[in-house]
Amino acid sequence: MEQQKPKELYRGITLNYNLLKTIRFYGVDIVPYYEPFVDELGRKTDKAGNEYGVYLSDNYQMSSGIYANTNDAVGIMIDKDFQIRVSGQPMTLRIPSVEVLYKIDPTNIDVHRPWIASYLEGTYHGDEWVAEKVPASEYTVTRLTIGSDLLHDKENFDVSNIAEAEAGVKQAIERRRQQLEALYLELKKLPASTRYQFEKIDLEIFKDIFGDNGIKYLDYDKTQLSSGNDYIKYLIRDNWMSNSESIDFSTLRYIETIKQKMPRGFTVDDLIQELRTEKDLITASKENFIQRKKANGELEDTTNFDLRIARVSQFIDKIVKKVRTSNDEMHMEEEFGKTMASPKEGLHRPVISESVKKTVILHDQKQKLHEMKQQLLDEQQKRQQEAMSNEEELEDDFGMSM
Amino acid sequence: MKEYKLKEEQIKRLVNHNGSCIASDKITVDGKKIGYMYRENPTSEFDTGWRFFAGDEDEQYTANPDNFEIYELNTICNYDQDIIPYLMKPVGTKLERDDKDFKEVND
Repeated sequence: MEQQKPKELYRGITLNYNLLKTIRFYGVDIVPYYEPFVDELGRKTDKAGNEYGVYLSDNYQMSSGIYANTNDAVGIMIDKDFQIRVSGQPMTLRIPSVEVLYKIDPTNIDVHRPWIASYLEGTYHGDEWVAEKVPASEYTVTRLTIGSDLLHDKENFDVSNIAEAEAGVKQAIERRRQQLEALYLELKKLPASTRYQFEKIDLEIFKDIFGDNGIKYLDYDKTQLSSGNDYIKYLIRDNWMSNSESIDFSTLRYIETIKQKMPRGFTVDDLIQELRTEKDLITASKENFIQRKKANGELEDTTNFDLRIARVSQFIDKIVKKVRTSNDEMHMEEEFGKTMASPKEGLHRPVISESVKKTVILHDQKQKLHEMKQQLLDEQQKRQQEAMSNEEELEDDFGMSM
Repeated sequence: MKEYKLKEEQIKRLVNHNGSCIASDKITVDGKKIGYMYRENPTSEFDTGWRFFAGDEDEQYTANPDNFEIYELNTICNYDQDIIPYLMKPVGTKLERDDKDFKEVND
């Protein structure tokens, strides 16, 4: 007996980067996105041998949680032969997929329970229904999510304006692809021994460098730094740029550790304070170490402490110097604003009078004439010198032939 | 002898225009951004007619020819690249800075 149509149906799908290029989320009918297979009975089937068509479900949980579900193993690999290990776990670089959840009003759609391949009979199929197509007027997109990847967390898009959401998803996935490829090229340069020994903290470093607003894409000479996190990125960038041939993971990890200690929304003053505390703590540890060694009558080697203190001091110096430069630039901009204020107020707009202009032009012409004269004199002098040296050479030659 | 903010070796080729212009020392010596510029009838075949000011030159300052020099237009673009999009404006144009852009003004 044919079951009565439910009032609402759902469709959850996961689209990879390639499919995303062709699929539209609004204004078009939903149809299967691949051509049918044909079984031994001549029926059109899907990849699994079930009835061909657009699959829908009356089970929201299945559609939302299982069918529309990206996870780390889904997505297109940038290089299937390339792997890294993070805390011992193998990982690949993948362009993430997109989860799409549709809500469908089946009132005006011809939907029915699908027939399934004989080998799948008796298994659960997620309360499915099938239709030849779902017209554009009968569905809405209720969720649009890009899955996580090595550089980004999951990202939900506001579907209240589906046209904007669609454009946003396509732009974001393209941006992510470029960022992941940039990371891939950088990681490819590293020896396998380094690539297989990443820690979770290294993923945070990669995000800071290659992820959204990553330091790779910012021109720090032109960027105004304001938050404490901006200065953390500045330190990372400084270290990364100076060690581009051989990435100094030890220092980068240390900077990332400092960042993780900071409270939410920390300022540059908080950061400087934290670094000073850090320096005091290392200095105190060094003193304890020396005392202990002395008490045991052993020689003390404080190189490790000294290097750590030097590193923190260097960070403080760099930040303070950058803060000063930024303040100077801001001050200059303020001053500049002041000088610009006067013409805007319409008090005075400078103009060069005809007489001044004539004097300037005359002066310029005189200067050019003077330069030309000087050039002529120089050339004349050069020619005279050349002639004299030629004469000397001739005399020498003549003298020798005697 | 004036001490210019940019040395000869710092000047890059930014525009393919070899014409000349007049600029105030406030830009080339003091290093201020261009705040006001206008284009008048050229005085020679080499002159583009452009005149550049920081914007705070008062009458006393503009009355002194020593405060101005003739430069190649490209040189002034090196002092302030924000002017480049406006260089094709016709004679009679007067532009005042509005943040990174310039807006036309009428007296």
